[in-house]
Amino acid sequence: MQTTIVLTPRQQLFRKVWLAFWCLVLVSQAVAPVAWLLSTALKSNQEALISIPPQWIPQQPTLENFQAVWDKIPFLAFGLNSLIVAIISTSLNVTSALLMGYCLGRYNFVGKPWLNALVLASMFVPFQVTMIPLYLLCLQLGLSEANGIIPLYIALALPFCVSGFGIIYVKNAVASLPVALEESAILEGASFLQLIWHVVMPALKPTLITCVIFSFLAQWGEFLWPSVLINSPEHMTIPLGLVQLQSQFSMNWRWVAAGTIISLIPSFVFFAFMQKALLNPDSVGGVKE
Amino acid sequence: MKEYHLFYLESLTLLFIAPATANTAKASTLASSKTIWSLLGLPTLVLVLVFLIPALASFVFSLFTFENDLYHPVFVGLANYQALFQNGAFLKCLLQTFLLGLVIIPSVMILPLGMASVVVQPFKGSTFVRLFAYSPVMISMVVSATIWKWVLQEDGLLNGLIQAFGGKPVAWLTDPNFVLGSIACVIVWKALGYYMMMYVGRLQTLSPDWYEAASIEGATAWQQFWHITLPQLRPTMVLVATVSSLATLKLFSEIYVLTKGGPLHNSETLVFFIYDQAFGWLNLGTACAAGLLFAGLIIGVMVVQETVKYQLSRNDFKQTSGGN
Repeated sequence: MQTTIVLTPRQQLFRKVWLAFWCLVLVSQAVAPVAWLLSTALKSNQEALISIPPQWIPQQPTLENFQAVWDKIPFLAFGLNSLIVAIISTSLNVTSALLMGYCLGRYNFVGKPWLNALVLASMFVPFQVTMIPLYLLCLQLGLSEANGIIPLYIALALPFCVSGFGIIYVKNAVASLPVALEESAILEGASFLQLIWHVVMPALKPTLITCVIFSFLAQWGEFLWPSVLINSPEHMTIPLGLVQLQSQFSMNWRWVAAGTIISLIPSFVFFAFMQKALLNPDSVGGVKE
Repeated sequence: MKEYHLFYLESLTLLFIAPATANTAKASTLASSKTIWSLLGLPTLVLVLVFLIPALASFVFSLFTFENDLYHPVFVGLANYQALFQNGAFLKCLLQTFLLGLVIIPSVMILPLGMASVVVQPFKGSTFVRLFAYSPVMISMVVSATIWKWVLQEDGLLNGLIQAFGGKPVAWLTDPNFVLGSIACVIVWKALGYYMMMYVGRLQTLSPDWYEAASIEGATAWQQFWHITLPQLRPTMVLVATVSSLATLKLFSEIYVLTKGGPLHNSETLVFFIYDQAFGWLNLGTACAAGLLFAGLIIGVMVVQETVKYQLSRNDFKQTSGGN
C-alpha cells in the first residue's frame, strides 16, 4: 500500500509520530500484562504486591520466589510429561497427515470416498462430543494412569495423533504440486515409500512445518483432555501443573507468578526458533485467496 | 486446535466443488490400492477408534439415562434432548456463550484490522512490532488466563490503576455484571495477534495500482480504505467471523482458570455444562445430548459461513461480468 501523494515535511513528521504512537500501543498492550507478572515474581516478601499507584519496578529484585517454587513444584517432570506427549502426538499427527493427505490428494483407490467422508466428518464433530466415550474407551483399554505412565502417555496423545485438519491441509497442498517429478521418480525405480520420503516430503516441507508448529502448540497448551485423565500430581503436564499451583498457593501470588513465568520460557524458546515461519502470513492463515 | 479450522474452511470448497484434482488420474497408475492401504491402514484404524466409534457411542449414550445407575443405563429415547430445553442451567450456559460471542466476534473482526493496517506499512522495525503484537498467541490458554487473573483480581493491577486515578475498584471477576465482559477481554487480548496476521496476509496481496489511481482522482485515505480496502477484505472478515465463533463456542480452559464458571454459574459456557454433567454429575446421557446439540451448532456456523462466502463470490462475479 504505497501512496504516491507528496507530503510536506510537517505532514511527514506527523505521520511518523502517529505511526510510532500506534506501534507503542500495539507493543505495550501485548507486553504489559506479562511484564506485570514478571514484576510480581521478582518482588521480595518485604515488598507489598499491591500499592496505589502500582509499582512496576521491584525495589529489591530477587529470585527467591523462583527458587521457592522450583523446590516445591516438579517443573522438570511436568515439562517432560508435556514434551513427551507433544512429541508423540505431533510426530504421529504430521506423519499421518502426510500419508493420508498425499494419497487422498493424488490417487484413486478402493474405499477412497469412504475415507474422505470419515476425514470430513471428523472435522465436523468437536472433540468435546467424542471426549466422554473416548474416556470410557481408554479406561476399557487400560490406558489410564492406574496402569503406569506409558499407557497414560498413549491415552493423552491418542485423540490428537490423527487430525482431519492436518490431512486436509496437506491434501490441498498436494493439489498444487506438479505430478511430473513423482512420475519420473517411479520411472527410475523408486518404491512408494522412497517416493514419499525423497520426493513428496521435501516438496511439502513448508506445509509440514506449519503442521508441526500448530500441532505442537495445541498439544503443549492442551488442558481439557489431560484434566480428564490425570489425577495424581506426578503425572501432570504443564497446564495442569499451573492450575494446581494456583489452588495450592492461591494466597501467594509471588509464587504463582514465578511458576507461570518459568512455564513461559519453553514457549518463548520455541517462538524464537519458529518466529520466521510463524510470521509468514501464508503459514499463519494457511489460506491463499 | 483452533488454528486448523482455517485449513478446513478453505478446503470445504475444494472437497465439494472440485473433488478430483487434475493430477489424480495420471498419478493413479503410480501406486495400487494395496500399496496405498498398507500405508493408510493404521492411521485409518486410529481415526475410527478415536473418532467414529466415540461419535456413534455419544449418540447412543444420548438416548439413555445414567442417573439411577451408571452401569445399568435405561433407554429413554429423545427425553434427554427434551429435558435440555427445559433445563435452566443449560439455557443459561447457551445464553452466556452467545453473549460472549456478541462481544468477542465483533472485537476480533475490527481491532486486528486496525492493528494490521499499522504493521503492514513499510517502516523500520515493523517486524519487531509484529512479533510483539503476535506474542500473546504463543502463550497457552492457561497461562494467559493466569496472567489476567492477577491483573483483574479485586486487588490487582487494573483496580490499582483505577484507584491511582481516583476511581472506584470493580470486582471484575466476581461481580456477575462484569464477569462475562472481563472474560471476553482476556479472550480477545490473546487472539488479536492471530487475526491481525490473517489481515496482514490479505493486505499484502492488495495491488498498489488501485490506491495510486484513487489518490490521483483525489480520494482521501479514509475513502480509499472504505471503498477499496474494505470490499477486498470481505472474504477475510467472513473467515475471521467464522473462526472466532467456532473458538467462542469451544471456550473452556480460560474460564476454568479465571472463574471456574463462577460467580454462581454466571460465566459457564456450553463446554462447561457438558464437562460438569459428564465428570461432575456422571449424567452421561445428558452430557452426550448436549454435546450433539453443540456439534449441531458448530455445523450450523460452518453452513452459514459457506453460504455467505458463496453469496460474496457470486456478487463479485455479477459485478465483474456487469462491468464488461
